[in-house]
Amino acid sequence: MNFARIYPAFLILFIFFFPCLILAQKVTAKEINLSRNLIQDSVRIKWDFYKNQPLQHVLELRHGLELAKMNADEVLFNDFNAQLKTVVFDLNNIEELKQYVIKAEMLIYAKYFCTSEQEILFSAMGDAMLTKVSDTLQTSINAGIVDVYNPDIEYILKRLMDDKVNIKYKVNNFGKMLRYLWKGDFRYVYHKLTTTYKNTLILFILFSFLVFTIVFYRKKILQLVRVKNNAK
Amino acid sequence: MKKVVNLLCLCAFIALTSFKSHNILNAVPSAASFTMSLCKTGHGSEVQSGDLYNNGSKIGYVIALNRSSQHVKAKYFAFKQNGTSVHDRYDSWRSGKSVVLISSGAYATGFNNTDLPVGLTIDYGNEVNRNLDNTMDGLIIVEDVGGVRVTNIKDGDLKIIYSGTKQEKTINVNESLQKAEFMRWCADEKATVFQTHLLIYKNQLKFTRSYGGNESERKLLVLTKDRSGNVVHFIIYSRGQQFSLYDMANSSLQMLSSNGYDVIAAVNLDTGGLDILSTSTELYDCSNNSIQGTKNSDRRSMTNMLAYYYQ
Repeated sequence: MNFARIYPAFLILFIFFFPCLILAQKVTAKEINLSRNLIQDSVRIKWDFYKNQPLQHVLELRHGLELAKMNADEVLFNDFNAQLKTVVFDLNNIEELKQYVIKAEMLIYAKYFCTSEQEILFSAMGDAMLTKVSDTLQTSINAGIVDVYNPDIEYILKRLMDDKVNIKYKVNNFGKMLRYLWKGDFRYVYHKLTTTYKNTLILFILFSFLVFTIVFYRKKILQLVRVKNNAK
Repeated sequence: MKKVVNLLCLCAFIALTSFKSHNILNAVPSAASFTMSLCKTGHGSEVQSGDLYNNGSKIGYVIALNRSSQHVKAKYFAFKQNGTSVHDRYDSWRSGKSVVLISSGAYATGFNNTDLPVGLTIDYGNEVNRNLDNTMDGLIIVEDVGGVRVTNIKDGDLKIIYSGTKQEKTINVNESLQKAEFMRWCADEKATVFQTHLLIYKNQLKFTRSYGGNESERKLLVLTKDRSGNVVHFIIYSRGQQFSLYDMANSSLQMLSSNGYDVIAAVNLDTGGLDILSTSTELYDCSNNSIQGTKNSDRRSMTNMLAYYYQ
């Protein structure tokens, strides 16, 4: 192989390659600088939990953070979650709560227009918001602060159910039994009477028999007592 | 006078029969001791059924499903889908399959087939309930290939494998971001997931006697390994006697351990208003009677269903 022949090729390659390398480094540095700004921006984001956040902006931030070799989802979600923790619901202001739920739904359904990689962040944000509503409602219902049959609360509960968030709250078994009776569904009533209220039912039947006996045979009982007393 | 005496006798008779029929007089002894007898075999000798005894008296059924050859598979219907009830979904799915058993699975908020399941639930990749219930530690994954995995949510070490890339990842579903990733994995892999009380995990009881719950009929799904390392699933059902969750789990653990089984996990299956258990015609108890739950007539109302089939 004649080195003199391929030397010019090496030279040309070096002349072109070296500036390209410098340019690439500069671009990367620029992107990293941009990303650093974005990170600062993301920490400064004032998440609006009641109005629509421009998701495109969040996606841009995410892209910038990824370029900076950071765990973009974690940075953005932690930022989001820290602010979410400061949100306090006014359960008397149902309109505000509805807006909040709508915002959460928007984040959850964002998966339909973003990639599967981006979807996780939005889904987690929406999920965290809905969990906060459901936890608050669950605690309030269990503490008796909120009436589960209030139409506004019922609306939120149904909306949450549509969003696949099912709240398990304590209910008064007796009240529930009456509601099932009203609906004409006797299976629940039968189940409760043969399980939870089994002993109560047996005692009730026995007590009823006792009362029945005393009421209907009181004369004979009194007579019996008198006969005994007379015999004494 | 005679009438009064007769009436009082009648009262006493009714009281005694009521007490006896409701198991008050013969209440569960505090030290339950279970034994089992697997006397029937079916489905290529990979499924065995028989009786469950407490202190020598028959109180229910045991079904053992050997998964060593992976012919016995599990399928879970977590909820109705596109307006089709769980029972109707099961009816269309079962054609051409040799169904081993069906049973009620997770808890639901009510008795109607429209009532949602309690805890994180995903049906064949579709979200049913995304609300993680913090009072129940057991997360059960029924895989598309018929396997069942149980994980302790508190440990936060659920392992998922992406079938495409074969990449393995450890997930803590208590973390929102990781939970979202888990749900996407379920959607991609068509996984089915439900939540229930975790009673035994890695041979250890996961709760104390004080948190044992009310006494009731109990039905457990127990995942074990036998001495040869074969995975065997057990359904242990105390139809004839009521137990607290603690007594049921503790006695089942002792029974299986003494029979040489290593208990991977045990979870509670719902026995409340939809206490349903039905087996194929190849499986009976030791007296050749069919194995049935107390509410089998209500199976059309099932809110969810765990099925095992042989393929």
